[in-house]
Amino acid sequence: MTYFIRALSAEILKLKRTLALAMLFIAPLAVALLNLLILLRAGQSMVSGDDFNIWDWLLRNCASMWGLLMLPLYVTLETALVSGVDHGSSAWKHLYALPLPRWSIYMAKQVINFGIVGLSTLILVAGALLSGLIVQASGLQPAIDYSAPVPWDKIPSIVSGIFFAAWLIIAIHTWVSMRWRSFTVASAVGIVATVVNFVLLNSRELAPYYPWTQPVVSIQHTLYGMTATSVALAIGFVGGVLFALVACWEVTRRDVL
Amino acid sequence: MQSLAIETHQLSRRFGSITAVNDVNLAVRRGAVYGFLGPNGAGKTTTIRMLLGLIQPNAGRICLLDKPLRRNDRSPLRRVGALVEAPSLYGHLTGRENLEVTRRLLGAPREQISRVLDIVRLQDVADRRVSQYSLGMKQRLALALTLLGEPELLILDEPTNGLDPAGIHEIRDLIREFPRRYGITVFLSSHLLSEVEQVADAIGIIHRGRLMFQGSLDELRALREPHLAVGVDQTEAALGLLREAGYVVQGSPNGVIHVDANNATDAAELNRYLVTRGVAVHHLSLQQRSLEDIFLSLTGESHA
Repeated sequence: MTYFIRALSAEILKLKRTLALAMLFIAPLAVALLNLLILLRAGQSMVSGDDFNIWDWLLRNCASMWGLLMLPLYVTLETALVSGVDHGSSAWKHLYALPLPRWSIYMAKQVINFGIVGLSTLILVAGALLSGLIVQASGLQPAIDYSAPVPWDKIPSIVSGIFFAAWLIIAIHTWVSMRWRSFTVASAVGIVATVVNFVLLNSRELAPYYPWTQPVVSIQHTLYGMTATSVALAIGFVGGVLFALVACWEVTRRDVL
Repeated sequence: MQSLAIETHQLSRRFGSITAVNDVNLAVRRGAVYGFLGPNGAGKTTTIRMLLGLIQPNAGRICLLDKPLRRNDRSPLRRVGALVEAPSLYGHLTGRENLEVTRRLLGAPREQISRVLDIVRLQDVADRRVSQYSLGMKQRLALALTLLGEPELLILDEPTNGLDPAGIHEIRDLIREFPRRYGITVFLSSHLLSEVEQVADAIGIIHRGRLMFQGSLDELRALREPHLAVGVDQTEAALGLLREAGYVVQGSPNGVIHVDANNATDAAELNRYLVTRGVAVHHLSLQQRSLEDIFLSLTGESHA
């Protein structure tokens, strides 16, 4: 355990001044910004229903857009950047020749990647609410009822749903990014898998079982039903843990050439 | 028995059908600077990677500082610092931050950072980003990384590769200090004998995966048999006469005959012998092979 803590603290220091760290903020805020622009432009037309709650709309829209499109690509990019720090400086031979068990180095990377996605999902929620406040302050959409209640009770389930259901994707991409030096391999896996998302999303039977759709399925109770949501969450989370363990075993047994 | 810093027993590693390292028995005495020599592709890096547990041997055993190194027991590496080929440095971090990353991994005390910066004389530039360092500075920083865990053994793979003469000189001075000042055993590889000759007490020469020579520099020098170079007017006749008299002729490139001989007396005798039989001698010199020649003959002969 001490080894793991040491490896983790070294990983955190390595992120200093990296694009990976910047992306942690940029990606979720970009989604929030996009929703802010939608609201500024189309605000009037959305007010039609009596039950329109701007905060609820922002949260759901940001979460879906994030879970469906941004998250899979973001995980691809972020894991590749995090491992790229070490590939680029040919650090593996140095790290693996240190008197630490190799699993600690792999697992530190894995946990950093989990942490990055968790943090950016939280930033996404903050960004969603912030964009509502900005629209309100701008005064450009006076017709919207800003006094509608913020659905605080939904936030924990949205954040934890997306986050834990994404563990399988994060684990897969951590392995791909550690195993292959090339950015192209990681991108190819991520892009192909994300494209498949659009096909499978419409299939209620298959969507809960496909890793890349699991984050978005896990927060869409009304669309897919409670069972599918729980299945997606369970497979994403447990699958992520299992995949990380097997991948760690595989990578740490390999020759470091 | 003398305590060894590195001991390998019939160490072997294959890559497909190629045997990169073949039955290598290394014996590196504690407190020595050991030069591990061989041409590129001879098996140096593969051997070093096995010593560090980076790749697994197909056969053989490794002991570092009297402890066996196994796949599941890497504890012997605790007292080993290593630099394998190009330095592993993060360009976006400063020199000090690079040291801090490894310090955290080792769980070494904070004071180690300024200690190792002093040793490699990088205190002044420690807070600059490594991407702005010269190659020589990077190599010194990489050397500092290896010292963070207060190692008893340093394993350095081609530590002066790609450096300019000044950089080579600095690294060489540092390496020379390690055993004397800090009691560290140094195992360093190189493809150039001249580079190792000035710092090493012991030499191992590897070629095509096999250890061709292992011993002190003096033992290597003892392999230099002297010989006579003889220039004559009738090469063929002289060759016949010399062979008749029992001299061992090594060859006669460009009309100069090379004969096994030990000293000046031999030279005088050979001269008199040829001249009295009507062969004019216009050149006669006693020659010794250089260490480089021995190195080349140890690593080159099997090419022929």
